[in-house]
Amino acid sequence: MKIAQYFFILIFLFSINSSAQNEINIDTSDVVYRKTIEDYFYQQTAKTEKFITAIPDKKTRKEFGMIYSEKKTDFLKLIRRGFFIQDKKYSLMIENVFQTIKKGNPNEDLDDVKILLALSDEINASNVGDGIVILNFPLILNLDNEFQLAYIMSHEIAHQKLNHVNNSILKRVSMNNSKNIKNQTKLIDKQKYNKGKSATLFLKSIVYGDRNDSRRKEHQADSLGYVYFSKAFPNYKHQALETLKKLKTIDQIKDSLVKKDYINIFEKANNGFNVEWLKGENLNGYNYQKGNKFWEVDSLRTHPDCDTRVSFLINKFKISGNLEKVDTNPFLEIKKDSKKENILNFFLIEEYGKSLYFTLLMLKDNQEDVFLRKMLYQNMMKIRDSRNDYTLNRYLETENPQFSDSYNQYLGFVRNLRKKEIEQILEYYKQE
Amino acid sequence: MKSKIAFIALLLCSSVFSQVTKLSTLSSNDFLGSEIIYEDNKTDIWGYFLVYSKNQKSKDLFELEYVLLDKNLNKIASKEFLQSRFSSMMSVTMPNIGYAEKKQDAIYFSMVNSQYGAYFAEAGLPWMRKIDLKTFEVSDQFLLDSMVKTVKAKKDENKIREYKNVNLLNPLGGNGFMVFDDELSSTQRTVAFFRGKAVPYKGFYFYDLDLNQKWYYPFNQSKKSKYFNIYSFVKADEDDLLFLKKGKEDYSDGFLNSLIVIDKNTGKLKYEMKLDDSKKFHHIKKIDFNENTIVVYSAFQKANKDYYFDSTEIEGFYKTVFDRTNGKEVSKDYFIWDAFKNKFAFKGQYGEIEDYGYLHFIDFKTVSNGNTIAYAEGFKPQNSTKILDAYVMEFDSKMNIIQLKKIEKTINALNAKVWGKEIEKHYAFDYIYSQNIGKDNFSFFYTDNEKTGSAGRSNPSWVLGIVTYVDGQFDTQKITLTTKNGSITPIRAKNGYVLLKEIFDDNKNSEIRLEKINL
Repeated sequence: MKIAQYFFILIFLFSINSSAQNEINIDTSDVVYRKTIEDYFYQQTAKTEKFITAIPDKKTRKEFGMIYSEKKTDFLKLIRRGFFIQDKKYSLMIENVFQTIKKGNPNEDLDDVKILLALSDEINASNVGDGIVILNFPLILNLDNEFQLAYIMSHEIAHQKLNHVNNSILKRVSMNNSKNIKNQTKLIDKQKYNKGKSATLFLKSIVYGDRNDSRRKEHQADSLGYVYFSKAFPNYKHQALETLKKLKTIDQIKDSLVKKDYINIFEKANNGFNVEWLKGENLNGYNYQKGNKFWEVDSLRTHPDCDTRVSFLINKFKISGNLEKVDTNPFLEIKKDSKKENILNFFLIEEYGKSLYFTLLMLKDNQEDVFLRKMLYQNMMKIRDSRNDYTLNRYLETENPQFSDSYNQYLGFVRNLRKKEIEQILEYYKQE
Repeated sequence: MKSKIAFIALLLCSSVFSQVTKLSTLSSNDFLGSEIIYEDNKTDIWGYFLVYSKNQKSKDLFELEYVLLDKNLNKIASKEFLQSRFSSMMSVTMPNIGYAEKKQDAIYFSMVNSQYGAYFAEAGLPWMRKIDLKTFEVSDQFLLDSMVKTVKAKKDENKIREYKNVNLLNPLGGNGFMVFDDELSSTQRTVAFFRGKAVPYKGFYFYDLDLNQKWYYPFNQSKKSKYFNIYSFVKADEDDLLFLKKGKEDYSDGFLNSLIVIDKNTGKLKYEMKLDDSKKFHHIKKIDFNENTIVVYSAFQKANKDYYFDSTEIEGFYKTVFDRTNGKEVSKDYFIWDAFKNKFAFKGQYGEIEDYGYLHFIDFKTVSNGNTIAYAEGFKPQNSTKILDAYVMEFDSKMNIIQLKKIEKTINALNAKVWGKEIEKHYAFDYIYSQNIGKDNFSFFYTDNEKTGSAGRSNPSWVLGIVTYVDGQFDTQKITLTTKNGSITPIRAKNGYVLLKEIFDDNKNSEIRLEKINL
């Protein structure tokens, strides 16, 4: 109840007209919707539980049941905490795309699949079994057209129809109870010396094997997903390949902040600009080891790399011809406020550091934008409070050599501000 | 708070997979120890050095792994290396980090065999290794070749079978090592060590970090003298080594303390700086080894014929500044307890405050304008000695008090009657450490267990207190370390920061946060 009230207040605050007739609005307080998902989830879990009781081996049945129970509890928590949202624009678009996929594949019985839109900081989509496909909000915001959305949905639906989640669990549990693994583990445990080495080698072989299996499943999902997609959108088959290519670089942030941007945004608030604010932690003096010495990184990937996936589809389905022309305007029109929505998304999942960073990226070119100024204020307030509690690192990362210079500088900037300076910024932006 | 919906990932990590979990446990590395690595100039933390045990190859041979983290706890590198250990019928030890320092593009470290991690103690031998920070390769162990005869044992093991005159390496702050020269056998030296007897040294050898002998410094102690001088290393930099010399050359020379500076490159004595004279004895509290000056903060008292510094009769504190080029005294300023008469009512000349106790000065910082910042804690020596409040103060360049701030703390008691020097020696004050957090800005850290009310007595709430001196102002803040569902441990971090390790009672989660001091 408390969380619902909190989100209600947030929605009230953020129902701001950023442009004519548009609102930046993410509603996480829809308890009716949450109930709908929960009811659906219970229906689906009942089917899975029936499946589990039919597993012939007792030990396997018990272990599977325990894993499933834990998974079920965790997922219910996410539902009840409001991570799955129903958004006017995006939910409608998602539903339209899903209906098109269904119509194109009438014999596939896709009615027991449910597509959920989730708040997250990851650009990702997943199938969690029980008929549920999750599309993370940042993913939608970073796609170029609805065909990319359609292919990703098709891929995840394929995982569901191939029952990959349950099969994976079953395989692991069976393996876990296998005589071979038990005997090997016992033998290793009895070793006086080189126990660690033997265990590591054996564990690696299991993990690599597991990963090989995962990659096989990804190819299967790509394959069946392509079938769904190409039947639903027969004139846009190349878009499946374009989607995979897109995924290669989808999470790269292409914009940056420079000194001039900070001056423009913060100089007035503090009656001046302190160059010390931009003094960050210089990690250039370190030489970082390249590559992971323990694991073979390629062998660890659950997904084959994107180029491999593209080649696979081309070869399997003999995809040829030219790339289709796509009218991206309708899609882009829907997500024209996507950057702002992403800022709000990060704020709602308490990623205040990221929310503020993306706010500043937009604010540097739109300094009078009411929504952005308000988000600066809201995020800065959270940052101030967490600094006082000495919990800032929960919400704001520390400099890392893997981050861009711009982001690292930003991380230093937030920390270099003194208490008084933050109060001045809050006071200035509170005036809105 | 993140939406973690990747349940597929749970498949590998689930605790339900007992066999795989067991395999994970068997293959997981045991944490052996860690050390903070400082920058070459020792002004800040460079990173962290951790060592794990990966695999036991034979009875006394282990495959270890080091991990290097940068000052933000990002991983820099990791690599395995082989390490043997000392074992006998009477004791079995595990290798532990005895020493770790960074110098330019290398980390020098030594694994010792000790149950307690005390470095170069007992069975500690002068092993050294080097990590090349360009390639991350770990060198083989290297030793003092001139003093040790090594016998290679079977297969992969290197074991010292015989040695003579093996002396311990005494680190010189990342600038090399000092090895004392005496005429004792290792057995005689070990016996003397365990009996707590001083060993008469003739001088010392200076070795660089690669254990190349560079020069020899003779103490030139008169053989007729009944007393030995004691040399303690204080600080070093690229050019000089600074030692505290205690004792007297001959009976007529009444000096207790002096400082000597030895040229690090040649081993020649540059100059000696006298502190004590016939009227006053000094007990050194802090020495700042700066580019152009050496600043010494010391407690002082009247000289006595026993040449003994009685810490119950401290009259005040001196700040003595020496010219680093020639060791000449540049300035000498002091305060006596009377300087605080506006703040405290003193009884007598030795700092006793009526109905309170005494102030014990723990740390001093020099500001670039010549001012001094000091941290002190109150204590009351009695059968159950009490640790009282903290105080921070600023003195001008002449050691006149400018400002003083009292930080109230919970009174804690020790089960003995002890004075400040002993309390400090056993780390029983609440003060833990200090940092320079920018030009002329400093922070002091202390911990306190705040007992509020009757419930508080049995369940004290621990806090980390931070006292800052920033832009000429003192300020204080506290971080609660005892939380509703767990506890927080503060760990030393880079300048201006504190590392907080929060462990939750359910033991399922723990969190490490690098938090900047909120100025």
